[in-house]
Amino acid sequence: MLELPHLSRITDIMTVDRRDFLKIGAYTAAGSMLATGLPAINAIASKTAPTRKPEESWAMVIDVDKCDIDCTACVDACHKENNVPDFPEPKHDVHWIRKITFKQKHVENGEERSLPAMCFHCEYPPCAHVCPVEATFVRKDGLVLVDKHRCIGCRYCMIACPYKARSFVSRHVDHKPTDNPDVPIRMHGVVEKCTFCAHLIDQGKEPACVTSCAKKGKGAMLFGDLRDEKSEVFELVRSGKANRIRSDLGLNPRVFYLGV
Amino acid sequence: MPVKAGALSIALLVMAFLAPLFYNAVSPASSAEPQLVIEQKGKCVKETEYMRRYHMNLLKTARDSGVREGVRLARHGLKGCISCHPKRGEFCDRCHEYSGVTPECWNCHTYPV
Amino acid sequence: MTTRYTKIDGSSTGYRNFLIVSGAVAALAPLSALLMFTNGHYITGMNNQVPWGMPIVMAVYLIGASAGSLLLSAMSSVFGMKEYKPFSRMAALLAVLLIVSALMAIILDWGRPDRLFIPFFHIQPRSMFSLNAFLYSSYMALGLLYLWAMFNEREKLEKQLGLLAVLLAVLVHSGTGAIFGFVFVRELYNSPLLPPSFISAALSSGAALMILALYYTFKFTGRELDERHIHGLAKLMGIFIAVVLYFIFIENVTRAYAPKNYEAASFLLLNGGKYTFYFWVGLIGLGLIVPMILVLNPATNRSLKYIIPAAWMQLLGVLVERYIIVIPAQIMPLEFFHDKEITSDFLDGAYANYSVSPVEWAYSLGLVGVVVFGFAVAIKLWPILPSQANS
Repeated sequence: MLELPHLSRITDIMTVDRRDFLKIGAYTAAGSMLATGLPAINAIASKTAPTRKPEESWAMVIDVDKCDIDCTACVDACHKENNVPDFPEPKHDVHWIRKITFKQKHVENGEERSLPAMCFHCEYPPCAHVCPVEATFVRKDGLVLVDKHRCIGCRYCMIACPYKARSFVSRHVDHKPTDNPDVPIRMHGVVEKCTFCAHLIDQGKEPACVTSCAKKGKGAMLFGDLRDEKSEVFELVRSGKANRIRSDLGLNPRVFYLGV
Repeated sequence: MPVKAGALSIALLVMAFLAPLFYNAVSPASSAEPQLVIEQKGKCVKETEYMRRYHMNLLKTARDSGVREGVRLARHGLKGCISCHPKRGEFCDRCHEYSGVTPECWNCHTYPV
Repeated sequence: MTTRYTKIDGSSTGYRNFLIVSGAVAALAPLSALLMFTNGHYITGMNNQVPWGMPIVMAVYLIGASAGSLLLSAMSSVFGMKEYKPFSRMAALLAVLLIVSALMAIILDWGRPDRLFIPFFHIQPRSMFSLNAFLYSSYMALGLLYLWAMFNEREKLEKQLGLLAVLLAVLVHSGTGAIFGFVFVRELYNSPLLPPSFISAALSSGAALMILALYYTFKFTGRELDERHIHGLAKLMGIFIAVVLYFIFIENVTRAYAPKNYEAASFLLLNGGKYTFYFWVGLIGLGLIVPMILVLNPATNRSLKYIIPAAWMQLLGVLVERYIIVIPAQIMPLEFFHDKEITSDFLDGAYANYSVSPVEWAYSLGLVGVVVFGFAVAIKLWPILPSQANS
């Protein structure tokens, strides 16, 4: 569901007025509101529960100059934290975050550099727009998540995502004793992807990749709240030095890169 | 001839629908009510009678609000269950087997047997 | 002139054997779907680079043939072209069978076909899939109603339902084209021309299918066939093929004009290996131009000796067209930077591989079997075939 004032936060910072586009989106989405109302029992259950205020707007800034080409601290930490399965064939393997090596085209012996790429949690996520059952949705704080209880495995989202952020679970996965009990494993036939470690964010912690990069890498990854004007992330995004991948597509990803 | 065949197939269909009733009538009296091991005495999030009937609704609500809104209703979710009933084999499974339902929760979620 | 329809007798051993064989082929579809579901999709050729494979190609193809058949069926009742009246029932029946088979193709290919009803409870109006769930199911229901009206000789109702069915068929197949056309992140999908181009391909393949269905059912049931019907359909097919060619031409020229699309355009048209071969030889040559010439050239278009092969070529040519639309767009690597080469463990920046696996072949064959088997059963149960097709 689109939340107007909140989701336009990135655009506020970038000082581009997109409100009219957002309005169109809201009207299109209005029809689907009826279908997603939680049952009345929700009211009973949440009487005592904390209500989450949609105050955060998460973003990540990655300094590519600090990212070593042979360091995989973020990938390892992510796959451990989120019980990402390991399938034998590379073409079926599941990736939540991956290291991408890049070099300039048409340049002899160009320098090879690398960056981590995960789901960029776009402000206008094409995956969520094509999902027929709203299994992929945008949470109030801007995270694009997959409700694996609802995903029917049609894989339209994988067609629509320009960043190849999504993987289809094409094999049966079993519980392992080494699994992190805080994160469920996935049954075969659903699509999964990076969640920005939503379960950690909700406990006030940072995503596993960021923590691991700070501990084992060079601290190339920064995570923060764009609503918090004192945060480093806000400062970097506002400075205009941070770029986004394929910004020509206009999806407004929440992951920014420095030095590329 | 076709009339006979039609009547026969309808009769077979009715029999098939009623089969569970026949089965229960002739099979030995149903096993006793499942006994649950409840280690931590005390009150659940709702009274026992309510939990017996509607725990799945609470779980579903906790699931949807946790997944889709980020509001984690810890006491009402699976984590809440585990905190008082650490073994699903001595708790969940007993009633589920008795009533013949197979929830899919632990296909993915960790709940020690 | 009124057309009389009769059931087939269906007591010959040939018919019985045909039912057994086509039924066995039809059973391949659910069986291979069961294999995919119990093992997971790793047993197919589809993977994380090419998430959509042959099942989606088949689904799109079958929907197209269904929409084409329904449009042809409505020719007589809605557009008053009485010469098409004799096979309007056949065409409507095929339309219903094809959409059933297409829905099977889509749903059984899901990772979780056990969640069949979720799309009806959670609606996302921006998603073509979500809209299509309603379009396809209402289209199927309307097709059945339309058939019922025909069986009961309710001419006025038939005309009204026929009109509605024409509108819905156009919507349904435009919706199918939009599944791909609206995907703006892949150059080979994104095109406003896909919905209309899908409709013209639906009509040409629908006409080809009708020619073959008429020819073979009349041959095997020993009924007398007036060749003029076939000639009319063949001419129609030729015209629609010309429209398909026009759309394909415009679409590719538009794409190739923009420098940012050079890579995508040259992959499809020049150096895409087997895909380029399929495009030029399978689709443009054998699938479209040769049959078009055969059915429009006065020297050949009066003889079944040429029309029947032309119809086969066109029917398979449209299948190749669907393949060319669905697959190459996924083979192309997605670009992260316009000016940088990328590599990764996840096969970023590399051309993907896809080959149709045995399971998918069985699945696709089974889907065709479902239509053939359903048709063979239905012509015995209901008066669908005209007792003789001459006016």
